[in-house]
Amino acid sequence: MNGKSAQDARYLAASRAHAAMIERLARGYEADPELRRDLVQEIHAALWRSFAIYEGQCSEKSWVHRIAHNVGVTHMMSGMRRRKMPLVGLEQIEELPGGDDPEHSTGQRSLSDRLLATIHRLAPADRQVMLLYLEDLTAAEIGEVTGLSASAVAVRIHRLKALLAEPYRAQEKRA
Amino acid sequence: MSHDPAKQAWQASVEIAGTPQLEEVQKDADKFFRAIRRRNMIEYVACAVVIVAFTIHLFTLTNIFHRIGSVLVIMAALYAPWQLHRRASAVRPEAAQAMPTHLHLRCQLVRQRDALNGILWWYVLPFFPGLVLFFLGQGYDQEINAAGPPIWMRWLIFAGMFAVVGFIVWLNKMGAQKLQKRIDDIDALTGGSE
Repeated sequence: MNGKSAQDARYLAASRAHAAMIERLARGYEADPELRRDLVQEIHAALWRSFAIYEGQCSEKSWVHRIAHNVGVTHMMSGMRRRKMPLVGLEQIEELPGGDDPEHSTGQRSLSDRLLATIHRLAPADRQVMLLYLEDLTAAEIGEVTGLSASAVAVRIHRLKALLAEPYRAQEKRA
Repeated sequence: MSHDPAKQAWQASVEIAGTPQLEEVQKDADKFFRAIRRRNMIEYVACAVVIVAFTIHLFTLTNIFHRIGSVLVIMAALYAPWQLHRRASAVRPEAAQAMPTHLHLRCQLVRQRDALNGILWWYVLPFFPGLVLFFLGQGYDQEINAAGPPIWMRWLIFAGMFAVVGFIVWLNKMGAQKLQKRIDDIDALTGGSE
């Protein structure tokens, strides 16, 4: 197999395996459906290019996340001027939005909407960590993808866990 | 799948997604080449228009400043596209041959970045002597002087020319910075640098 077709084969296998993750990641970085479609295409193009240089530097899963997040963060930074609301860090968010709304309090769909609303408020580094955490990457993998130190990842995950457990703590209090 | 309800809900929000056609993806990956080729084509056409316009001036205007100015502008309009081709022509991705795609892309990004950073010297300034002379020629032409705008407005136009040039140079510097970011991204992935 020559270099080009090996690159194509690697890309095709990875893009099929991670298509849903790429779609979710794009939702985390872009709320507008039209722009999101462009972002997904951009991620796929970057992914195809990247498989020309992938030589097992890290696991394929980490590699795909790394490429996709690079494109996502760049896209997010270029859209910063369009934003009306300032972005915040995880430490500034006390609870997931819409917690008191009965329509939002149950069901996976509503929980994912609340997670998404929270993600859209976050500054790049925290957004990356939250998206990767929700994709079930380990702390070490998150560090590998983001380039953050182990302690910086640990602090963010600790905050995230507290934030995600908040609705259940509130429920317990009410009971 | 994790037992964490947040992770479960997030991963269930999109469980199946399509993938674009490989040809489409490859076309998107060539976007940089196509953008450069389009930009250069516009510049070549613009220079051709300048050459035609100033050749007409050269043969129709009688003022010596205008005529020398026209010659200098025509020379600049020949020099600038030559430099553009030499420094920043669009190189087809296929030209990489055995070179890894990322290295080829990085080389092209570095080349375009350097071209944009030096644009004042090889694209903007060559037009200046001719345009200044052409502008001065208007001050010495009695017919134009009588019919043209007042002197203060001419100086304003002259200052405006500088402002536009400054803006163009600034825009190109911004473009060079964006390219540098893409170069940094590639370096971060490969552990390489210049």
